[in-house]
Amino acid sequence: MDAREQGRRPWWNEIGQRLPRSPGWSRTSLSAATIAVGLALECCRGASGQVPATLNGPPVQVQPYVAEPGVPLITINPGTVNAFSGVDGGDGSGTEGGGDGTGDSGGGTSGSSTALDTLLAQSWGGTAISNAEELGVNPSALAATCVVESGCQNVAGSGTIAGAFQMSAATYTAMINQALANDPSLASEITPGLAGQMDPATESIAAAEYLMQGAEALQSAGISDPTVLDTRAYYNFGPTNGVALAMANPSETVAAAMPNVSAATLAANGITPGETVGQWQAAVSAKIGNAAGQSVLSG
Amino acid sequence: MKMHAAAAAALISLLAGVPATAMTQARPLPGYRCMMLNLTEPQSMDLSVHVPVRARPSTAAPAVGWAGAVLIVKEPATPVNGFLQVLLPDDRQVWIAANMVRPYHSLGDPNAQCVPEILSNGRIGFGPGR
Repeated sequence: MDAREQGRRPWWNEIGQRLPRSPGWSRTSLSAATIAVGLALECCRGASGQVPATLNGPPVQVQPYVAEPGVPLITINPGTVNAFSGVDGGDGSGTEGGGDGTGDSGGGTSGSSTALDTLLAQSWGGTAISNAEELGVNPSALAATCVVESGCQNVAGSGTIAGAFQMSAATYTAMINQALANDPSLASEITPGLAGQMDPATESIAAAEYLMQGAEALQSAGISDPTVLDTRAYYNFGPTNGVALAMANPSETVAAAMPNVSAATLAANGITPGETVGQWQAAVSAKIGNAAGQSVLSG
Repeated sequence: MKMHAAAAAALISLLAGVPATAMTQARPLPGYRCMMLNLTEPQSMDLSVHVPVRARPSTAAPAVGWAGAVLIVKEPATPVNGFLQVLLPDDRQVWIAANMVRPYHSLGDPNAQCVPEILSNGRIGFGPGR
C-alpha cells in the first residue's frame, strides 16, 4: 500500500511543503546542483587515478542468500577456457547470455556457457558443435541438452532411449532422417542406421534437428525468439503447454499456466502445488546453467 | 528554477548509476480475456497435437501458426463465422475455431486466476492478476 492509499502525503510532497518557496527553493536547488557537480568532479578525479590491475581468478561473485524467482544460479568455474569462444561470440568467460531464466525475459542471446564447456570436454564435442552450427542451432542449446540428459556421457537409458542426448529410437530416426533430407551432405559424416544413436557425434545431429523443430514450432505460436528454457518446456509438457509456459508471468503458478493438466500429472512431473512458473524456470535453469536463457536458434 | 532541479536530478542520477529508462512491469491488457484450448490432458501433452490459428475467420483461410494452451481472446468472445479472435504473444491477431476453445479453468488449481497482460518484456501473456 502506498502513501496515497494510507491517506497521507508521500514523503517527497512533505519535503516540498517544508522547502521555502521561490527564491529560497531556487537557492536550494542551486546548492544541490553545486554539490552534485562537486561530487561528479571528485568522481572523475578518482577515475583518472585508476591503474590497471591483473585479474587473478574469476571476479568476486555476489552470493545471494535469498533466491530471486526466475533467476538462474550462475557459477563461474575458474580455469575453464572455452576454445570456441571466438566462434560463438562469447569471450570464454562462461557468463554471457545467461538470461534471467524466466519466461518473462522474452528472447535470449547465443554465446558461450558452462554447458558448452562441458560439451567441449568430450572427444566428440567439437564435431557436435560444428553440427549444431551447420543446422542453425546455438551450440550452447545443444550442449545444455546433453548436460541435462546425460552429463554429456554416452550412456544407455530406459527402453529405446539411449546416447548422450537420450533420444528414443523413434525420435532419433525421425530427426536424423529430417536432418539428412535438409542437408544430404551430412550423410558422409554420420554412423548410419540406429547405431548412430550410440555415436554421440551422429546423435548430436538428430538432437540439433529436434531442438530446431521445437524452436520453430514455438515461433509459429508467437514466441519470437525461443530460449533453451522455452524449448525444454515444449518437449517436457507438449507444444500447447510449452507455449503457455513461455507466455506466463513468472508469478503465475504452473498449474494455472497449464490448465489442461491435472494436479496428479503435475505432481508426477515434479511440480509441487503452488509452484510458480518462475520457480520452475529457476529449478530447470539450475540444471542447465547459464545456457537456459539463450536463444535456441543462432544467427 | 526547473533547469536547476533538472540538472541536479540528472547529475545525481548519473552519479548513482541509475539508468535513465525506468523498469517496466507487467500491466493488464484490457479488452481481452483468458480462455483455454478444448483439449484432453493427454492431448495437451502430446507432441503431435497442434491446434492451428488462421489469418481470417474461415476454414479456407491459411493457417498462420499454432495455439498455446492458454488463449488471449478478444472481447466480446462472440464467434464470427465459427471463429474467435485471438492475440498471439507476438501481437498477431489471428482466428481460432470456436469449438476448440472453452472458458478458462485450471484442472490442477481450480482457484487459479488468469488475466491477460503485457509482460515486462512487451510480450503478450497472462498472469495471476494480483
